[in-house]
Amino acid sequence: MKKFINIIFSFFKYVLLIVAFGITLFIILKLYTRLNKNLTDSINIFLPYFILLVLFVISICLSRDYVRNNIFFNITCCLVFSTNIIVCLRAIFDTNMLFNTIQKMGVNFNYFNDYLSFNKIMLYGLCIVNFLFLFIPNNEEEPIKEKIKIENVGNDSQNNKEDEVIIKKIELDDEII
Amino acid sequence: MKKFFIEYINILGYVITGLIFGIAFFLLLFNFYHSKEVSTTFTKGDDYVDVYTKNISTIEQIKNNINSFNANNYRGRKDQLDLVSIKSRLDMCVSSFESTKANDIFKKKEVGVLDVYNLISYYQSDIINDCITLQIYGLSNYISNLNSNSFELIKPFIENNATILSSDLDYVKRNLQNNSSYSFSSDYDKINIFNLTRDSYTRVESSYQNSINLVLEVSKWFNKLIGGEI
Repeated sequence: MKKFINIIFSFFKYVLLIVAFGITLFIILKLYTRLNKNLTDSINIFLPYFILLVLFVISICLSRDYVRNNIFFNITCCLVFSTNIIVCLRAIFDTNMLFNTIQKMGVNFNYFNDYLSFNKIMLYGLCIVNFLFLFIPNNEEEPIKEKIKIENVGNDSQNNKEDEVIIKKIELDDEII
Repeated sequence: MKKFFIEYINILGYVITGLIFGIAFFLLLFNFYHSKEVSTTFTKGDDYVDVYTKNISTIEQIKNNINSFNANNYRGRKDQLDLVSIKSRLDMCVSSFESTKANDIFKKKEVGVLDVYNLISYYQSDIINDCITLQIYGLSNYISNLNSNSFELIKPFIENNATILSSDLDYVKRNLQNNSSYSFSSDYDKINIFNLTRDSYTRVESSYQNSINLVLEVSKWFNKLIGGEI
């Protein structure tokens, strides 16, 4: 069950990242067209999206299962991107926020602008976390069991080596304590 | 040593993830709350009498005061052209009060924040600009031959009230325009201290009442002027 939920979240992580990026790009394009500003000025808004995407790709390429299958990280990513999408949709469609209705701009830039700083903090935070988790090896979660399994393989016929296995088990138990 | 670093990187990663999770969750819930807050409507109870219905009799009274002057039968000592000018100004004011689109919103049983904003716009355009500023406040520039003492009685009252009314609802309008900015208010605050929709609406009603009272006072003064009392 946990694995199934994790697969769903890790899949939606990529989908929501693309949707969040697309809808933010739409709002920024609209704003910059209105202000006659050069789109290259908005690079600081989109930079964390690119960095995060690159880190996601790196973790796939390096097969870093610790970060790819980390359910807490995946849920947090989905939550951050969902928040981003909801805020953008409200900025476009919520007619009860009068600034948009009165100014007839199509997007409530006032409201969207309030959210941008939070968005940057969250995206850069995710980048840092992804980067840190890349250093953690894949077998970090369950090292003890695997060591014991390795020692058991092919040692059934050698009685003298069984003692070593027991000793190593005891050593590992001590480490846990 | 390597294990030590991995352990601390792990802890640091989870701490940052937790913080981001907290911020994202807070923003998500806050957006739902804010969305609910800006869509709050003000529902009038069955015993609530709106300011337009309440003042229908006042408008009739103003009309009676104005219609007591008939230019064809007037035998008084005041300048007839000035009186006709005042009468037509007051007539225009009455028609502003009667025909403004704001009345449709006043008659609604349930008003949202957009209704209140539109109400302020109609009220400021039809009543404040067309009646109070152009007709009533403008009286002082057109009355030329009237006995100055007659107008001096009411002039400070007109000027003072018209000045107040002209900018009376500006801050309410700004406040409504700014409702997309995040703000915190509990249900307790909304009931007891400030509810954007309800309080803005009642503020417009109060301003409307002041405007109609001003026109009524001017019409009473006009009536006395015709009767030769002043």
